Amino acid sequence: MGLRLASGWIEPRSWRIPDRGLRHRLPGGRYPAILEPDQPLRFAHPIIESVIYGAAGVAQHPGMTRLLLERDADPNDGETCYHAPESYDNTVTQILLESGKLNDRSRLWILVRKADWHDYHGMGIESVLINCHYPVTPTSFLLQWGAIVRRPPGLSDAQASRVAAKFADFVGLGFQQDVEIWLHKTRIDNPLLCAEDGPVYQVRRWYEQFYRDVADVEPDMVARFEFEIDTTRAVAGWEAEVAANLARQADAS
Amino acid sequence: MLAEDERRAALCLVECGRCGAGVLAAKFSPQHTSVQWSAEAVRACLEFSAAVWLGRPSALVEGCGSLRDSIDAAVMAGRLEVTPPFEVAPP
Repeated sequence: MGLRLASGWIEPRSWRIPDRGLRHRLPGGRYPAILEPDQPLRFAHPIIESVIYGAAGVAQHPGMTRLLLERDADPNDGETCYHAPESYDNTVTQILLESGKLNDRSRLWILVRKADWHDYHGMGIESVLINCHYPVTPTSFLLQWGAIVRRPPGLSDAQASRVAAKFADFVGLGFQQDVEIWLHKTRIDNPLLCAEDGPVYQVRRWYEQFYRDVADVEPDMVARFEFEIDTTRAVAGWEAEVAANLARQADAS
Repeated sequence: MLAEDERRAALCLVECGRCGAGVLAAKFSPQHTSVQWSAEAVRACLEFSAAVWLGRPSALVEGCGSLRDSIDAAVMAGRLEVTPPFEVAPP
């Protein structure tokens, strides 16, 4: 059965989603609207996205997401579960999780994107990255990493273990990209830094303690140094803005 | 041998109003704070000592609230200037 979501055209402006800003900044022009649950949405430039991505990932629309899932839309399109968690309102993410239709990869995307999204109020994902590198020869070190992830509600033991393993794989991917960079660049002893570049020299001074005999460790290498940017004011402003957006969204629906 | 940072911060001695520990502090902006502790200052700090007594190394403590209050007070009193780092003048 065909499902008509909208007819005609969507103006690019209508893609501005409250509390998420203009992430979907589309180029000028008009875009054809969505027609069938699994019919690809075609933009003027070559991007093809599914309808469920539009409902869950972009519009964050609970009713439409539920309806599409009931009508066999496939949320495992690589986009829906990536973008659905990008909100402080987790309703749609919850609907996707409870649908039982998500494969491991989609659940992993929700976990990873939620971790990116710094959600302190709703279903936040808490993770701790453990990073260890210690020298094994004068010119090489051993790099080890791990991640602790607080289990999101609703996952079985087996699902949680799979998600944890994939989370660690994902972190590993990031490290391997760093390694690739390290292998192709060289150390500059006196980098030209501007005022805003942060405590690069202080980090180097601290790191000097690790590649020498303990007897040669100088006090300034191990002395405690703090570098802090207070985000209290910025976060308070941000939270007020999010609350206003959510209130406006609630009024509109 | 480490090269020297050519950016100079206006580091200023601030003593904690609670325990008297002395640190070098700099503020590049109202939001930014750099604190250079010495081993003596860390040992003198009451909040760090309390953590150590509970079995938690001071390195795992984010910072000392009393010292932060003292740094804020130093800024308010005009003893610690808020100024971005400046470059060393050429010889």
